[in-house]
Amino acid sequence: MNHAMKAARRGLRYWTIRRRRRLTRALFLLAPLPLLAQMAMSMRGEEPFPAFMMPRFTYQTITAGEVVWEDVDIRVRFADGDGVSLHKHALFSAMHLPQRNKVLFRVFGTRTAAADLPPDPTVVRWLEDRVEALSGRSDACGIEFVWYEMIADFSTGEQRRPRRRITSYHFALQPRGTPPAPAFLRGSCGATPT
Amino acid sequence: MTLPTLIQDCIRLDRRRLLAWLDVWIFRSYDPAPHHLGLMRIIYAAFSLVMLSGYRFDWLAGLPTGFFAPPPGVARLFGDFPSEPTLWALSLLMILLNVLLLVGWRTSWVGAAFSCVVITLFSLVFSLGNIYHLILWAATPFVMSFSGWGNALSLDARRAGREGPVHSWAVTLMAFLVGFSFFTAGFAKLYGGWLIPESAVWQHFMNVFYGVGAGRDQLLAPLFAGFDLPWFWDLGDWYVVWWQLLFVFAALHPTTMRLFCLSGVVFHVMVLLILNISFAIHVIVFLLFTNWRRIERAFPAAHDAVISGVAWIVERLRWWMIGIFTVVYTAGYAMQADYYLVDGPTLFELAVFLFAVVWYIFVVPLASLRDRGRDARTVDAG
Repeated sequence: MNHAMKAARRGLRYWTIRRRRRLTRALFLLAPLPLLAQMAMSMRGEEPFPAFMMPRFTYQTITAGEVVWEDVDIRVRFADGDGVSLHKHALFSAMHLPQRNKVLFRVFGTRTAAADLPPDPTVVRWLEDRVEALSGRSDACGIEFVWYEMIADFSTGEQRRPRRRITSYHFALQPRGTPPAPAFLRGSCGATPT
Repeated sequence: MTLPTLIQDCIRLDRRRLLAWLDVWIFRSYDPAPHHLGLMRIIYAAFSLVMLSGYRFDWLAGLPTGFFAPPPGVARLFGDFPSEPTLWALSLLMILLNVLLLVGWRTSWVGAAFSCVVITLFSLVFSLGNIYHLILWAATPFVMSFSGWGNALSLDARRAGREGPVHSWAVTLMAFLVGFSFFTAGFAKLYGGWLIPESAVWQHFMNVFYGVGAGRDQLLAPLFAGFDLPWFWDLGDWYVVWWQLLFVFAALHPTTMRLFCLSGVVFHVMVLLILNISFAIHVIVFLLFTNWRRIERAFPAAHDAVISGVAWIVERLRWWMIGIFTVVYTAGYAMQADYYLVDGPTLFELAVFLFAVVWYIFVVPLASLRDRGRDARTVDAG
């Protein structure tokens, strides 16, 4: 009886090992399917996470020895007519560095400005909080993101400079401690003229 | 089985031989001893503790819903950035799991949980729009939890009174995932026109040095800004694209995989020096595929000293020591400014790359020579 039990246990262990091997083999044979699916999804424009992918570093064209990119100048206007410039890194100081440009381009960028959608109220409230924290003033009535096409001519060693203004994206802010003004009275804190 | 034979078997659909080849690849490509995987676990967990000490996640709570644009995946389970208490709870859980992984307590479950927490936290960061490609580092504990890397040099092994078995198929799976990940990048580059004249590496470098990536002008970047040698940059394009494309095939053979990992270290060092982009996480993952048995045979005294030293520490480890370490680490984590607020590689990342250069370019080749020399002497004597 003892021998039979030992033999049965050995057989069961062998079967379990064999079964585990089959499962592992199946895992390896099936693994490429979800991997290829995530790759296809990424190629269509929306990279998922988590996904087993490495950065693509898409092709960027340089012509005539010039590097061209977009950069932003952030201007705050106060109710008394004063104005101040903010650096983008100051506005997003608590955010991881690699995320700052992404948020700037996605939320405050030229494409968003062109889409002419109403501003997200949570974003406006966040801007009000950040402007107050940075300027120490609670009477900011507007913030403007002025986008420029920047250029650097590396063949002559020319420093970065703005080549032309692309567009601007204006957000009306609510000065703290005052009731919201009707829309027709908000003109004094509008966008800077082109 | 050689490659021509394998191709012939595929064409003839010789099922038995193909399955035999598959079994050899999956179960016998890598042959680490339990203490090798245990050491790998400790290196991974220690690296993660240092790396994550500068990553805070509580700042996400203060961001507006308008910034929340999660990629397809885990982050879409959240409708918005979580509250600060939730983010702190997840961060503390991450620290606790990391420490438990280091000491090897319930390693399989802890490793899998650590991967899940880390992926969740970073998914929320990536909801701002930029995905850091750290999946290989994040997924390693999950995959390796099936390998038995907690069966030696760990509290689990101490409790069991002996080393447990290892399952090397998990290392093979990691190799395949590493290879596939790099393949996706190579394919996208090829598809995106990288090998067309006007070097893509050069164009990317000039864009980040002069333009939008201002701040990436450290280490050797200023030297290469004036490097007007088109063949150098074109060579870089071809090297990057084909190295990445072929990585998935290299994963089918352990020696080739190790050569590609060596090449990967060279690649990442160059990317760090010229483009100031640091992928120290990949250097740690590549360590998984080292021929540890060869290192053991080539440097027996050093190997035994390291293993004995670590075993001595594990033997004397007590829960109050782990508790004190966790509390001190957490206090430091809570007080430290998030280093990712500044640009450029950190001293720690530079140290990791220095270790990688020494390991892959000196130690591993020397081990290979000494091991082969020992084999030759054995043959001569025999």
